[in-house]
Amino acid sequence: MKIMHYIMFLLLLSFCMPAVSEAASTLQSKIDEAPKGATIEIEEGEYEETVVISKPVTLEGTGKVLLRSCGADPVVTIRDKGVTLKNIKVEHCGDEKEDTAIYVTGSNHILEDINIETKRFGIRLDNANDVAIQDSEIVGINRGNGIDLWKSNRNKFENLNITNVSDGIYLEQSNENTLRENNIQKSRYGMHLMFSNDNILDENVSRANTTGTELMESKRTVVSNNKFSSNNNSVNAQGLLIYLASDTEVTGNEFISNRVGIFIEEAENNRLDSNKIMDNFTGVQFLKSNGNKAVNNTFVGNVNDAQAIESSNNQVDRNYWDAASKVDVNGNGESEIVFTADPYFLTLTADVPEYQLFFQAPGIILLQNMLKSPAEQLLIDSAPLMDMTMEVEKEQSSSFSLWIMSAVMILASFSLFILGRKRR
Amino acid sequence: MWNIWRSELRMTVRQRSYYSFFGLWVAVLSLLFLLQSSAPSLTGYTNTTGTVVNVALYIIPLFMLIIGSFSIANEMENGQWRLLNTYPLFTLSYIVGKIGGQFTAQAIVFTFSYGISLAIGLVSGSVFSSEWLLSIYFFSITLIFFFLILGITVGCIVSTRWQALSISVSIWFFLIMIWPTALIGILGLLPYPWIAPLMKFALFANPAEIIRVSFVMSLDGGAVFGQAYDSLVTFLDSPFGIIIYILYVIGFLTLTLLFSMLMLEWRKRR
Repeated sequence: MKIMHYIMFLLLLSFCMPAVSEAASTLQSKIDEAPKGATIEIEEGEYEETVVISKPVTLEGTGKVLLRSCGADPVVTIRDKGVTLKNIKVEHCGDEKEDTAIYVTGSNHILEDINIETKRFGIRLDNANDVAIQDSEIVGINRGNGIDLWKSNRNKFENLNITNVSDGIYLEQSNENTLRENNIQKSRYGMHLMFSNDNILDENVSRANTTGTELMESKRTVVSNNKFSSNNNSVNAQGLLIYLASDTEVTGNEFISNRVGIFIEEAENNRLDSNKIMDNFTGVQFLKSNGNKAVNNTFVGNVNDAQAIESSNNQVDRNYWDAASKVDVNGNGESEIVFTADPYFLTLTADVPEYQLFFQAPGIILLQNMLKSPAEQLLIDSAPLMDMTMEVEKEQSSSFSLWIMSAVMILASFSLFILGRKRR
Repeated sequence: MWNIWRSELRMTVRQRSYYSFFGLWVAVLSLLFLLQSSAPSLTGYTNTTGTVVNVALYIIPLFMLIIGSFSIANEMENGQWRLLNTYPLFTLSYIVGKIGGQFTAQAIVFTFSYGISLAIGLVSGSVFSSEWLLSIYFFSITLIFFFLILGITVGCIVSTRWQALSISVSIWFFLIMIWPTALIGILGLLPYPWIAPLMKFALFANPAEIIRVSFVMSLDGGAVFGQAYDSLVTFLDSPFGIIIYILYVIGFLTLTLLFSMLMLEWRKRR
């Protein structure tokens, strides 16, 4: 009898067990139970589980909701159509190469107010179309891409804040996507387009990355009103790198304090119009690129404005150069003096990179003035503009502290001076 | 040593030429500040900063070499040094006193002019960044320090002021004006693998270069020197970098002081 009792007890226990485990995995079961188009509200709390959503439902966190997993599967997997994910924090703590916080495929999904912490990938879009991701944040440890697109078209990314990832937003073979008002920093590449056409990059900010944005073998990209700044901490850093890409429209952007503002390498038929290129070590650099056009840009405060190697057939006209001597005789707003940029230093350092140490050395400026490069190597603006095409606002700093600095310098030196003059 | 220091300082600040330096620095610095204030941005390394640095690199080493070498050559010429030799004076304290006195005097006049020029700039409505101003100031003071020492060393070799002038100018011309040209010329003759180590050696051999490079690095521009110097730049930027700088100053002082001392001792014996 005792044994019978024991078995009964065990049976009872085993009946209870699934109920307990079901309580722990309510999220997945809730999703499984919900009808199509339902809204599932997730209560505040931490959920150690992975979730797969493969029907059109809305998943919304109320309060602070954290989904966490360290396993091989993505924390959230989204399939099919029309899934909406809102106000959720997702954390993937795994450190395997393919670990992903959110995996998306299918179409017409919306991700909003998502906060992602990951050691590898943030969001992966694999054959996903018409997905909108907005108002979200991704933080990584510089070892995987923030958002990674593979063959995904017509997606929209808006107002995302991406920090410390490998590539902020990476597109491969993905077309017609829109990237707008995103803020990407401290990563390898801010936005990285490979073999992706007809994408729009608008009003993004990419700062303190190795490279602000790279466009590689991508066609008809529109890069407008973005800000690329302080991409200067690496020896290969640049604001915008256009490599083997064509028909790019770069308009109204700001390139500030980068190592190289815009680097155009082996690329053809791109157009730079009305950009502000300021305080870079080199403003625009052409390498083996021809048939590109740069007009109406404002070059201010760059240590070297523009340099070109093996790129003599670019049309660089009607730009404003603060370094140019300007005389306007007929009053058409264009200077009659041709502006030339000598690639002497570039050609010198191309042969022996060690000579880059002479960057802006007083002697090298002398040398450059004596040994002019042949005319066909020069980058020429035949009609430099008299006025800037864009407003350049000047930063203000408090003059009070400067007055104090000045006073301290004067007083300290003057009292030392009096002391020094005194006879003992 | 302190007596020499004090008398050198007193003698220098009482000279009429000392006041002309005040005029020179005020004129140069005010113009540079005017240039900076017309530039669109204040921070970081821009073309204006480049120009300011280059003007400083042209003018400060030249004057400091001449002042340094003259301060000793003058005493050689008018016999004051022989007079001093009749006292039991250690050569090293003579040299250190000379350097100290001259450096104090030059730092005073430069700081004073810097303050005045800054005030002039502020009155005329310019805005500056204090970080930028301090970087330029310390850059200039370091240049003054290193090239005064070089000048004093030159003074210990020469016997007349004409010699002092010609040697100072040629050192200036070599270290500042012709340095890259000379290096490119010489390194062009050598096997390619030698270039990288020799360039690094040359960087430390020329105080003007190391000061300029560390200045560019201090304004976050270390990346412009390219892949070849990435490890060096990262290292100098790290906390260990300061040790390298300290060692460099110690090494530079030891070499120049030792050399000047030997020269003077040798002359004493003659």
